Amino acid sequence: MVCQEVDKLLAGYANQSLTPRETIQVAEHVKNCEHCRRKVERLKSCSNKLKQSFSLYTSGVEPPFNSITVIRQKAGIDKAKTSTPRRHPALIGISLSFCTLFLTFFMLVPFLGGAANPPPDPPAMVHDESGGVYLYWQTGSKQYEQYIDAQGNLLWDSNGREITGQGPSFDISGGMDNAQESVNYSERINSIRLWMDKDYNTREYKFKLYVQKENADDNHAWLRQPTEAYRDPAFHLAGYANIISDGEGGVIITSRATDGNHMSSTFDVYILRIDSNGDWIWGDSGILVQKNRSAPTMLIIAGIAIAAAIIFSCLLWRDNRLARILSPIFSLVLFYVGLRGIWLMITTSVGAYSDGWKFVLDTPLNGAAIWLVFIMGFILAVVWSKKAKINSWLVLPVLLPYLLLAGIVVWFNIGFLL
Amino acid sequence: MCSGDSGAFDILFRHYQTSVYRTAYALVGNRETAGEILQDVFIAVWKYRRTFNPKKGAFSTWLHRITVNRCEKTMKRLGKHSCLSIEDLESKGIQIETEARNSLEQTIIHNDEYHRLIEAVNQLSPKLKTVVVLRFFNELSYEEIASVACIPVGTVKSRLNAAINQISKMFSEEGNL
Repeated sequence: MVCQEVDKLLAGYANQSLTPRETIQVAEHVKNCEHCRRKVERLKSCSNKLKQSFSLYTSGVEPPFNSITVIRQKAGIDKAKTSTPRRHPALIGISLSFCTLFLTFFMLVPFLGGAANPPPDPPAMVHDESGGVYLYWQTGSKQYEQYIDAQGNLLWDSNGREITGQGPSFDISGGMDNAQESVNYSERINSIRLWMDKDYNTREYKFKLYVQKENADDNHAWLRQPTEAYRDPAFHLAGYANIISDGEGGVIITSRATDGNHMSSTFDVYILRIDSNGDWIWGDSGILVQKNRSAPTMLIIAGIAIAAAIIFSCLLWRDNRLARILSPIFSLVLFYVGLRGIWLMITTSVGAYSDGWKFVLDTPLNGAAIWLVFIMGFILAVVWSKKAKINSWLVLPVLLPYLLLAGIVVWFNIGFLL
Repeated sequence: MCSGDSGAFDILFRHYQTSVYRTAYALVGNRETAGEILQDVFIAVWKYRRTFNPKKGAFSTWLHRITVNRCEKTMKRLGKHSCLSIEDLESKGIQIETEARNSLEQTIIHNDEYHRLIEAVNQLSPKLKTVVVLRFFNELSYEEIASVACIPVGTVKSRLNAAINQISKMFSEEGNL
């Protein structure tokens, strides 16, 4: 081997990192080559001096004396030691039992039996002999009446007269002897057919009310095509409708409907009249007999929920024992309240009404309030799960309903999009 | 310690803290940064204690690997500022020969050589510097260095040879060895 070939192996030779074969080759060369031998010595000396240099460089260099304290704090070792979970088996047991009962009886059962209240029955009508009509309807647990004369004037003010417990002997919710049955699919009076159908033009599949004249010899050249009873296209039905003859060849139609200006209806009562010539004589969308706007109940509930969730969260953060016990329960209460509101919104065609719970939704603000209640419950559940200081598996009964619902929502949305 | 015994962690810390601190100091050349690295290393040791597998290698190897990783990240961050600071040895109370002795005691280092060697080490790239420190300061075997730096043994050897050649060359240029 010549010096040039050996040169690149010399460092390895000095560091004893060559293969046996290379070592022998280099050793033989070095034995006869003064230049390379001196270089090997230099490299060996360099290695030795490096060792000494590092030894000198680091001698007397000691780590800071308080390192372990800082490290223990930063690594959370001391914290973990001081915050040993304080367990309250009895209280946890009671909380969990309550949660289980709550979930079983108050959340699952309503869904099994049909959670949403059905829309209220349509108003009933009795026409007098002079073209006017008496109207009876029920809102919540209260019954009302109104009289509309032939010209469309209301006898009482716009919300009618309450007749709860003192009205006519007929049962409004079950239909009336003198009134027509509710229109389910279709009904025909004075050759005018009335029926309800889904509005396939919108994604929500809201129900619409349609009318059409149907006499064979067709003396009246009107309603050749089906027409919406409520001519304002924003209107849609809430429940069924009733139709009676106006005694003069036309019809009077009543139903609960929404004018479409609100996120969901509260079953406003409308009545409209189409005469024998096909004229809408009480206005294109009839007369608004009772306006059911929500009381701000949901907003009050949402306000209480937000305030309570914030207070609970703050108390939890300060390791308050009572908050730790009550938070999971309160969180599930919010979950139930929120879910019930959302469920009512989803399952009824145009809105939701539940007199017992005062869930009256007709504005986006109320709808948002429902969601807010639900979200506040979830936030509280998360805060509680962070600060519960119990086995992390035990927070599942509280968090699981939220996660399950989130999963269901995602699943249905994906299904809908696909 | 793997099961969360903080007492065991304290024992290990006391045993290895000087070694980790000095390795970091030898690599980054700054006491303050070395102190930070020491903290980072042992926080990582506690945090990832469950990932340590005694079957795969010694604790010291694992510890060196964490140290080297942290140091390399710091050196990368600091760039040229990660030079070894040359402190006056006398200030440390260390007396060394002021002149090189004769050939019989050629390996005894003197002050000037020390300074020039540290300067030469400073010129190395972080990768070469790491291998040099692990070999000549920690005195690890090639296999151990390979395990710590997560590179093949052949790469360790070639890097080390390259580093020695480079140091020797720079050293020779500045003065006689």
